[in-house]
Amino acid sequence: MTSVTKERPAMASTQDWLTQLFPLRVLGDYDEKHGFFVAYCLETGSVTTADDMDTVVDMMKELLEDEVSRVMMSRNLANFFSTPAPFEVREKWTHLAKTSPEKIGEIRLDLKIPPSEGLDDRDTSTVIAVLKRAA
Amino acid sequence: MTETPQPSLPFSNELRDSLSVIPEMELDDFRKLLKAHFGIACEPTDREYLVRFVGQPWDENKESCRAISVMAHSRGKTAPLRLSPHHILQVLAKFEIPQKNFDDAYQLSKKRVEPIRPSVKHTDSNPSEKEAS
Repeated sequence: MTSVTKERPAMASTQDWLTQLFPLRVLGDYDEKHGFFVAYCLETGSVTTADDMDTVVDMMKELLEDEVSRVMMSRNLANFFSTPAPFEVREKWTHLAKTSPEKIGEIRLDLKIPPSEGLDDRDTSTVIAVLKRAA
Repeated sequence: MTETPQPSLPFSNELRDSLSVIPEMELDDFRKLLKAHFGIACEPTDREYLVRFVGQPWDENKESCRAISVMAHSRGKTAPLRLSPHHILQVLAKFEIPQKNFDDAYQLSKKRVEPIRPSVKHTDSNPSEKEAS
């Protein structure tokens, strides 16, 4: 099952970014030692691995949709943010974002939150910023 | 605008060392190890390749509860479902399991093999009992 990830080249607007539910950043990288691609969410530490970059990022979208939908139900933010990505991943992101800001794309998460939570589309808007590091 | 070459930014020695020590595992073996040695439950989802690990007190509504969703490598397109060292390190961090404890549990789980004929093995290893009878 591979869904098509719609990726935009840059942040739509600062307002979108500031008012969304959780600002999340994802770094896609190539693990030379193991020979596969790995994606990290900087804020939650979530990890996906796959044999190509597009799949690993699409898997991260699916994984974060699951994580964010669950935290909206449990409201357990302490768990959600308890284990961010290792600092080295943040350093990689910062370096790439500074040297190649035009490569920062964004993906909107499709969240599954029951109406009983009393949230509308704006409240549940979550866009993840994605940077892919060339292999 | 000319492309500026990007210098490689490898992981730190500490993280790289951890990744080289942690094994790749089948999801089912990892699930059993976490349950048996660390009391971490595994909840299935509507997708075979996606599971939810939940620690004490096994109630995600409680702030002290730690839980994490884990997706098998390439959504399990390769059978069996496999986890990389990256996945395993993240789970260990989430549940604050020291790597040494995981290594010990992993070694124990590898050695735990049911003997094919335990009664025969028992007799052979105690020749004195055999003679006495």
